[in-house]
Amino acid sequence: MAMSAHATAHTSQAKAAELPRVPTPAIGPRANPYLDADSFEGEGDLMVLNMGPQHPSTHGVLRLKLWLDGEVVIKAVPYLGYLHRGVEKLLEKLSYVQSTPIVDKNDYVASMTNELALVMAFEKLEGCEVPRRARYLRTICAEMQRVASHLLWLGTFALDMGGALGGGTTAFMYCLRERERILDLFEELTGARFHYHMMQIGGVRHDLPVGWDVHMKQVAADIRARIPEYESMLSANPIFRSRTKGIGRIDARLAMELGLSGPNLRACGVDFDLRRSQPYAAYDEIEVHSALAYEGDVYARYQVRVAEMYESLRIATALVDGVPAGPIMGRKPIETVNAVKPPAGEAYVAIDSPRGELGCWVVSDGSPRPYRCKLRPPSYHALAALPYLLPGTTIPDVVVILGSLDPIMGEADR
Amino acid sequence: MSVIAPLLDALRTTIRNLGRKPITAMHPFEPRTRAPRYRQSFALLHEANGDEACIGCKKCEKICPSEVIVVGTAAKRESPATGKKRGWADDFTLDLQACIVCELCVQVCPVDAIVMVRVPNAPGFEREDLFLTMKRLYENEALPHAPAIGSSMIASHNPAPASQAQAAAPAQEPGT
Amino acid sequence: MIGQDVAQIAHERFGLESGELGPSVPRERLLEFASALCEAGYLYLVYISAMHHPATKNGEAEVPARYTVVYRVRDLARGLEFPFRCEVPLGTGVPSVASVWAGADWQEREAYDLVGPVFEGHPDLRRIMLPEDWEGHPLHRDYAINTPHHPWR
Repeated sequence: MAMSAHATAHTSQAKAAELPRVPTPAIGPRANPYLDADSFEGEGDLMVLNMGPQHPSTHGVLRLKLWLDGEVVIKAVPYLGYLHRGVEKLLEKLSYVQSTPIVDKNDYVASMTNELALVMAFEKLEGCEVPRRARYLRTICAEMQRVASHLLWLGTFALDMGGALGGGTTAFMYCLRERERILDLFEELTGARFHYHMMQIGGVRHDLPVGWDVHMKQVAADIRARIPEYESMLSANPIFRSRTKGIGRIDARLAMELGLSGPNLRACGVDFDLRRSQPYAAYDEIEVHSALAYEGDVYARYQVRVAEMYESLRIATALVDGVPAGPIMGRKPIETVNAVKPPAGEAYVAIDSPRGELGCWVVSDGSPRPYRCKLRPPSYHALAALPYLLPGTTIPDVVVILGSLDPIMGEADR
Repeated sequence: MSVIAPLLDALRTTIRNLGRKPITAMHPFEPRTRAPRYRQSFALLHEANGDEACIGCKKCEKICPSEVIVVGTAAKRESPATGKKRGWADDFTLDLQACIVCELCVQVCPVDAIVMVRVPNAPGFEREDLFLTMKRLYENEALPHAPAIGSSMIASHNPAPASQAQAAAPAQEPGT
Repeated sequence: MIGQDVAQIAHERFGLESGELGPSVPRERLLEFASALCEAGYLYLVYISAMHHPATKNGEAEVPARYTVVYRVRDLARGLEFPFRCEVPLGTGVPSVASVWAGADWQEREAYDLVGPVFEGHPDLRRIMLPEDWEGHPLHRDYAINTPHHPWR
């Protein structure tokens, strides 16, 4: 078995060596994604290929319309909206209290952070203080959620490259196994596995159960010990490296203009982290070292995400020991549907979700329902980079580049 | 670049994982242990004196974000157990198909009538199984329910420091 | 943190007062203002969004329906943010800032699709969330939530 795996790997390695593997230059902001397909000068005609919306590698229902010259992408146009549920309209029709569980469903891989951004915006409007214990619990939840989200990303990203790794499915199963333990932790804490409804305006809904901190530290230590195993399966693998290094390079200036955020931005060498620049929850009480890479390619994004997992585990473990005693809510308990009535005004709050800057801009007119509530999903901004990144690459690279941006369509389409 | 060394490395990881205990279970055949707070389905409770606890105040109907609860309020009449006049619900339906399991109805209930329960197996195999009528909600009372009930949840949310002892109390309960 | 340097630029070069919500830039000078921000180092486009205000009666005077387009940009090196906005009556276009920040492209498409302001000079102003043949803009305040529509294709 080992022999055959070795043989397959060897031949594809040889093939990869034959192909001209020049790293694509970093795409700058003045590149034109609106290439006129009629003006294409080459042999034969362009082929138009629809990738998605039901494609396992598009991570949800994203449709990519690709103009191909042979296997090389000449132009790519993403079509969104297959998962549009009108969440922003819905939030205008629901009261502030009812909105929190609704946004859980946006980024379904990292529900905790969705709720956090929304309730923080409402708290800013209402001007209520969050007690220290609740801020600690929020930070611990957000960081464990980041690990769970990145583990799912790592698994599916390995799966995207499939057979080429001789272990794509293996890494996927291992990553999901560890993620499952984090979901168990959340189940113990909130009673749900995906759509937690943990945060509420003024604090958190559930206090720590007895023994949760011990359990959490055990899980964090186990995952901490096992991430190097997955790293050794991927980053040491020459096929993985040749498929990710120098692919999908994005220039820091374009990344900024497009509003890329989180790991995608930090992989371009831009040292910006909302946890440090605008500390929210309990991040002002702990030092956050955000991972940084400079190449801006797929491999850099992979490096940043893996490094973030270690950092998140460190933060969560450090915080869980020092959770202060005290109340978990900073306002009087919510007992009616119209309990929250912020004064008229506007607020924008952004947090660093696993995918990047998740913001919520909310306008109040003094009624118990928001006048306008806009969510700033990081995935939407990441997908906007695709028309710049894809031209010039081949079809297998399209899958890798798309996977490396870590888009969640539920959040991009809302 | 050597190809063999990283492949052997990956193989070593695989072999090391072969010896690890699986965390998966053959679910329908082996009952899965759920955390005490696990919330899955609903139940309506009776008071200790045998009365139905629900007073038909419609607070849960109003707060439900997906509008799955319908409460029919009955006229006020005397309770057979205590003889005092109080409100009653003559109908209570909950459609689990659209329920988003946010637990807001439990949180706002002023009389701790509605709770979330753990169901040992899948909640149902047909659409009708997911439609909880008042009769089925009272039948669910026998199932183990989550420690969070309206009053304990509101007490734990109270910012006053006196509520701390109460907040920590409903923590341990055996799983299903 | 609000960038005071551009608040000063807005005051000196454009005569605009910026409170907490940022200045309200007239549409004729929006593009010029955006370029000035970009030159001042505000390269990161956080979001562009819009909201619709239906016509209201304020005593005798009738306030016509209008759109407010809101922008927020950030200087990552200094960690400064700057919000600004542009108010236009219904039926009047807003100049597109896609030539200043590349990311404005999709942001403006989303604002146009869901709320409705038309961005003049946008390279490719199409609907992005809803199908091409959708009628109306759902985030209008007077768009009923149960408005009938074609089945999704």
